[in-house]
Amino acid sequence: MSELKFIFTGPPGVGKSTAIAAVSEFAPVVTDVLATDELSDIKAQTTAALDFGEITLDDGEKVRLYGTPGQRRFSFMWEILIEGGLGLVILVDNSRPDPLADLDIYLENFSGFIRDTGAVIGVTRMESHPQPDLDDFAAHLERHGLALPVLEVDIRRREDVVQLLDVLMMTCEPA
Amino acid sequence: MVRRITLGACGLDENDRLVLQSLINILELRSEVRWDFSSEGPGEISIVDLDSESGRRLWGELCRQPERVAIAYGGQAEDAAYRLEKPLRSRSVLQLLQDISRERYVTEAESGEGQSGPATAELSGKQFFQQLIDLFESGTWALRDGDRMLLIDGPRKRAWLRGPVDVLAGMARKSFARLQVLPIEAAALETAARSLDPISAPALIWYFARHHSLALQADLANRRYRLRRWPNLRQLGAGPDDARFCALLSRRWIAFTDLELVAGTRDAIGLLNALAAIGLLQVRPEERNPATAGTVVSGGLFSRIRKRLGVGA
Repeated sequence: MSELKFIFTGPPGVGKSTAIAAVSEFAPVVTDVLATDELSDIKAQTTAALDFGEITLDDGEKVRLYGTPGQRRFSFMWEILIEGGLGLVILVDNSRPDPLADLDIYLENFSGFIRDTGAVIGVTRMESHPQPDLDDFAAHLERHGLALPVLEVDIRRREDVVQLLDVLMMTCEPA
Repeated sequence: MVRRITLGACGLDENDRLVLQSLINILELRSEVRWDFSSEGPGEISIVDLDSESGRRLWGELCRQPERVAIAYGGQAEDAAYRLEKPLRSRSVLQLLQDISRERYVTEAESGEGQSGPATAELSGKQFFQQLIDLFESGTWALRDGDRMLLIDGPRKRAWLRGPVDVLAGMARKSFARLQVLPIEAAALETAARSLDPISAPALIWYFARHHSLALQADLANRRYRLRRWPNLRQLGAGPDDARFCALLSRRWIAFTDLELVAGTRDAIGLLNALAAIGLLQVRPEERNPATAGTVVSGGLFSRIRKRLGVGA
């Protein structure tokens, strides 16, 4: 039987590990290494392989939550992680210099997976960095021919992460 | 005596006819004549779709009748004195019809130029909603119903409300039939708005459409729906359920019955109303294949995950 899993992706430091921790039954397994590039200014350690969390359903079945390594040098891992995935959560950090360009990286790299399953976009740190706003994200997606859900989130809050997953599942509902 | 003019739609498709019908209500407020609408035939003024066979057939005939005005819509017509481009734009239609009616049908005495007196209209709830959308197209307006008051700044897409947002619920009820719609000077609007609560145009339209049981789409059951663009739910003041229902429409064409299954009839209608009103909904006719309807199911796996996460299935 194939593994049931949701994938969390986004740029380094966006909070993928934190998001998984918010809903996982156990503290996520995090494979961090010392950040040695520009990321070291904002984050001492970064995820080298993956984050891994889990929730157990009533019948004992497991649903895994995987976080991709954020740095592009680890992008070879992305294809492996998405295999058989149920859907994609893209987290975007609005405090970074060009959040829309960040989003493009993940839309492009996961385009097939998004087409085949579904995706939701969670924008973080909007309270301190309101631009681009949610309309800008939606318009940007429309230019890509997409109407993917875009929600403002605080990934430290469990209810925000749950909402992302709930909305993601709605986009993935079979028709 | 007030002049009555019939606006005829010749060869137009259903969507365009619905647009024109709703614009007639606005014209009633803005012009010095009274308007009737003929959805399938010529009037004193006719909008003729030259891309349709019936429209092309009528065009020459209408042009030979000097007492009638024919407006070319789409297609090619070098002899057209008046013309509208596709798709129909409310502002262009209103402007052209006002210009023609003033030019041809209103005498100076009838126009009442120099006289004061705001346009006043009694509208049904549904008419009100459709006009509300159009009022944001241009101009500044004060809408009154007893103590309730709504000020609209069309060009800036802003509005102000006397009282909390709940006041809108009262306005959205079907019983809200006696309404004054008054043009207001921009300066007077600024003064009146000072003490009132601001609300954005999309949020106002969303609220009305979402909480109004009237279906703007004439035949909900025989169409499929899909989002053109994800709405800014935060700005619209929409709730978590709206995000879930919109998500269903975000990736594929959904039949009304499928949305109804997940959202319930009232919310399904309200949501489609609201998305259509803010221009984010795509609509297409239902394919005549009953097997494709009613197939969205809250998948067993997702239901179990939701249950585990503690959210509604």
